[in-house]
Amino acid sequence: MTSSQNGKKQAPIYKVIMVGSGGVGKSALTLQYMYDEFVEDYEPTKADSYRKKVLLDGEEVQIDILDTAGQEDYAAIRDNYFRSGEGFLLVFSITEQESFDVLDEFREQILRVKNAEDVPLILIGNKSDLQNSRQVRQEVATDKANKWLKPYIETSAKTRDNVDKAFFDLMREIRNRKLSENNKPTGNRRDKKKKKKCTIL
Amino acid sequence: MFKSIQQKLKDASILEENEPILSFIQVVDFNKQQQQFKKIAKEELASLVQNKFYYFLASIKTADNDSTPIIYLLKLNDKTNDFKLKVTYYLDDIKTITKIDNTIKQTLSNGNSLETNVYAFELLFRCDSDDSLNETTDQKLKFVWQCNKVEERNDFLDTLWKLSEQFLKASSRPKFINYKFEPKKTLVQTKDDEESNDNSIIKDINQQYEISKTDEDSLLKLMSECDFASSNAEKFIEKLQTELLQLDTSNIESIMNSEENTLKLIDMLDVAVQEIDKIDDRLKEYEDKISAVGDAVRIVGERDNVIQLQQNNQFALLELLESMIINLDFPAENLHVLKSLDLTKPESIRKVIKVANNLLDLLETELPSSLTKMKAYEEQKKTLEKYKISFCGHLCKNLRNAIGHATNKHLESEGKNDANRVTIPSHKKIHDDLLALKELVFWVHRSNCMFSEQNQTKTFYEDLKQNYIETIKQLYIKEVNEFCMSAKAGIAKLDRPRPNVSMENIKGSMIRSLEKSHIGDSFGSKTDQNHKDTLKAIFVKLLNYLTNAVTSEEKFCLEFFAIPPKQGKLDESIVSSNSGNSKLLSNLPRTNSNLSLVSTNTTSSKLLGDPKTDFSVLKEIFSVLIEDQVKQVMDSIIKTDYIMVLFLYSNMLAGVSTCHQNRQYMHQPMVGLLRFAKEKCDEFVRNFKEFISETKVNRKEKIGILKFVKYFEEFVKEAEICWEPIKNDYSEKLCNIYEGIVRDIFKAIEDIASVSQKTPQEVVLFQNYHQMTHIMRGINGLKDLTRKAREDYINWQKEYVKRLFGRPLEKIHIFFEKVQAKLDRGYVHQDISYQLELSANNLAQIISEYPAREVKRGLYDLYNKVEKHLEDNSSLLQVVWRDMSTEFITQYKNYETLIKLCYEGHNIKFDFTQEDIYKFFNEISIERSKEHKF
Ligand SMILES: Nc1nc2c(ncn2[C@@H]2O[C@H](COP(=O)(O)OP(=O)(O)OP(=O)(O)O)[C@@H](O)[C@H]2O)c(=O)[nH]1
Ligand SMILES: [Mg+2]
Repeated sequence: MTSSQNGKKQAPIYKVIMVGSGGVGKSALTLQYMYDEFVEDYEPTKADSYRKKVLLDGEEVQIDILDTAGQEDYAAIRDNYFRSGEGFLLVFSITEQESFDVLDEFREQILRVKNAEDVPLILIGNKSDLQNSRQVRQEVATDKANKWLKPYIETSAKTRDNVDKAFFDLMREIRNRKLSENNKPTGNRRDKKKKKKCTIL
Repeated sequence: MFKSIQQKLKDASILEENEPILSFIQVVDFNKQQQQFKKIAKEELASLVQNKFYYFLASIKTADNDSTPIIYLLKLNDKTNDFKLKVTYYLDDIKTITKIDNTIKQTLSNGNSLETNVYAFELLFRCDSDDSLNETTDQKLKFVWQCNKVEERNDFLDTLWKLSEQFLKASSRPKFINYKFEPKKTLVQTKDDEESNDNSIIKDINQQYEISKTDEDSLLKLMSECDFASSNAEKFIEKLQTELLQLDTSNIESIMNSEENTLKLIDMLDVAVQEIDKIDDRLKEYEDKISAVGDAVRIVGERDNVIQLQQNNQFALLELLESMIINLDFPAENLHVLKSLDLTKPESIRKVIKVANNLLDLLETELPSSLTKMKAYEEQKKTLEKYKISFCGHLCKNLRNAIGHATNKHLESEGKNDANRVTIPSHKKIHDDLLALKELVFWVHRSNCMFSEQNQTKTFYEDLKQNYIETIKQLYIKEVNEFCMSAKAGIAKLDRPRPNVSMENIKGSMIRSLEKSHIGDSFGSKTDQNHKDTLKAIFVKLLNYLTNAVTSEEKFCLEFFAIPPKQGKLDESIVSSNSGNSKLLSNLPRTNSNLSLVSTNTTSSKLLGDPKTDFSVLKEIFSVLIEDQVKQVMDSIIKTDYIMVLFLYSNMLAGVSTCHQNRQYMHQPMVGLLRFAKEKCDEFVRNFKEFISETKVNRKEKIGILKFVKYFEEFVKEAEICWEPIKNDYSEKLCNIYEGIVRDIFKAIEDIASVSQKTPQEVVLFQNYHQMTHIMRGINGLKDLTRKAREDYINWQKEYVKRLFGRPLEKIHIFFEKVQAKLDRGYVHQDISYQLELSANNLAQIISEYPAREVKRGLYDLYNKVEKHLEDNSSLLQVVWRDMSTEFITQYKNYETLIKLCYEGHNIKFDFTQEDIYKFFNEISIERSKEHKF
């Protein structure tokens, strides 16, 4: 809104964090989304960040993706970067029950850290191309998502199935959250906004 | 098994051809093994022992009826699996052979004891100087060899014993100690076996000369027969002799009986010969009579022929004269048609063509040369020739008028000068008008009429062509110029105002072009993209219109000035050179590249299919017009937005290959344009690379993502768009461009990092390499360079973390680095605290300097420092900070471990726990997230 008036404003930034156990395909999803490539080899991540501009429903936005480690040496460290995220993709591999089970803990950690009851978040069942080794039934995953009141998407970083959808849906969730936050402004925030508009006019 | 080894040894020329292997044994040097035995654990033993195998081989060398038993010591090469001869011993060199059976108890390094059964033998060699019994020589001449299997060892000793018993004089036999020869006995052994066993050496030798199975069979068979025969031999001989005698007598009798019969037969033959002579004579008589009759018949026939010939000749002469008159007759009404020359109506045009062609037909008819000498013929020919020339002149004048007329009509209908021309007008009307007359043009060509002008003879046809070219060329110059002008005007409208335009140099315009799109604002980059799209559309349209115009002109010219192959006297030189070419072309090796394949095919088929596809007319009409005009447009596009060179280059690459495939004249100017676009693109890249390598930074300023890295991102973005349509054929060209730039960028990043002061070198490197990885990741041909960028990014980030994470506990960090260094040098944990500078007191003192709140502040500072080092809003902040935190905690835990190990009992403790550290980090991140949220 302000951006189109001014024309100099930076595209709004959406900060997304990839969460889930090691090897579920967080990096694979990120790389597929960013660069249309699939990496066959497994190289455990420590942390890496990606940034690109995309058109979200006609509006140019910037997405910042923080790809994190499934295997974190000190779990408490996660608190710090979770805090910087605005939306979360909670990824498990449909071929690994355990990776699905631990997601409750991850979600609780996120809610605790963000100090909120609800955070933009999507449950992602990855590796949907490996139907033959499926361990987590779709209904079971949907149940969990329903319990969380969150969407569930099955993706394949290999075939690119639903990869764009996962990221775009999450960005929309973040956008909706931002809008609703702006609509119940605290005194402070409103002041700032007004000041800005004045300078423009 | 012996056989294969034997073959191998013979191949290695260790054994001679008929040297047998009598015994073969795998051994280990007992002494050496003992030395190592002490050091190694049981499980390692097996592998070690295996590696040191030697082999003994007993043999016997036979020369001049003298047999010498020999022992070879061999070594097996693990890798090649070949044997190598170590030593050759003669059996009589050996003084004593001792059999050793022993059980050795070893205590291994790990404390276990190991019992091994040792089966060995000792060889003691004779010494030259017999007096010695001293220790040193004894050592040298004494060898103990250990074997794996007791049977093998016994077998080997048996062999040696047998050899010495059999082949050595008693005096030179070795002495066997602890050994007694025992013939082997198995339960089922028969007496015979035992016997042969005693002689086993001989048997063994025989084995080496074994008779083959088939030989043996036949020998046996022979023997059995002989066996029977020999018992009755004498009786048999007697019987043979009597039978022979009988045969002789009967032979002589039969010879005597046949002589009489032979004589009778000879008489009969003589009679037969006389009979044949008679018949011969009679045949000759008949032959003479028949030939006389034949001569008579022939004479009658010849007379008949002559009469026939005379008749034919008369007919032929008549026909000839008639045809000659027809062939030279040109009626007056025809002449009238030519003179009045009405080109307004199609039917009258058809009539003119018919008559005119008839005239040429008359002139071209070949008459027998004898006839042409007639005066009447010559006169008629001259008259016709005169008709032709005057008609041709008349016709050409009319055709020229028609050309002028059609052009004027076109100009009138298209209106006057139009500066805002948006198309190149179609010339269809002109072409249609003129094509109605095309057969007349061909007639002019066929007539081959000439005229002279300023001392030059010229054909009317050439003159006509020239006339068309001049007229139409002017028209195109005008129209193309106007069209390009309007294109340039359209381009100029898109040009943004820029600072001191006239002063701008190439590099400046390059920067402006790259800067324009990357000024991250969504609005700005969108308009920039729109501008680019408009420029592209203008250029594509221009090229399309030009191509269409040229193509239809090409089609027209080929038809209008065409020479149908059936009649035109084919230009000999073209034909011959063409066939030569095609041969040459078909011999060309097929190349892999698509393009060159196409080119070979099209040129050859063009040359063969229609030899008259020559573009000379088009070349003259358009000459440099198209190239010049389009180049100007290109120039103004480039001036507006320099990076459009990428588009122009890619577009021309595509254009040229389409024209090439369609074998169009347009290919020629397109090639020129491609060259031009490529030069401009190269120039851009050169400037960009110069810009990269010349980039200087203020070393006292913070350095973030370098400008040329941002520019490169723009460059890649645009290049990828432009190359999308041609990526299958030309992606390599683009990759080469990328590669050159990327290498320069890498170098420039390193150079700049090394002089940076305000920002640590590691930060400059990893931030820029991170960005480069991001830019290059999607490009297929740059996989290797991308990998390098990524590795450098990761490594330099690690370096940066390593450099800074110790800061909040700096003195403690340094202290423990010293501790670690000592430990690494081999100090024992307990001794560390006795080092003066590493005493417990010292440590306690240093630790006391870091109370919890101090550490918390230190971490805050560290965070701020990192944030300040990185680009504003860097997405890497979280990544780096996570590494820092992890490293910090790991290090803290490491200190605690070292304290426990080295300062046990000194009651040294940090003022803060691991939980506290988590808390600090947490507080930092909470505070930060508050600051960033608004
Ligand atoms: N078949 C299939 N394999 C996948 C898919 N996604 C990821 N993989 C493979 O799974 C392995 C792990 O993928 P990563 O993306 O590295 O896993 P991660 O979640 O980033 O793991 P950490 O970085 O250790 O947390 C890799 O070998 C991938 O090739 C998928 O959708 N289908
Ligand atoms: Mg990963």
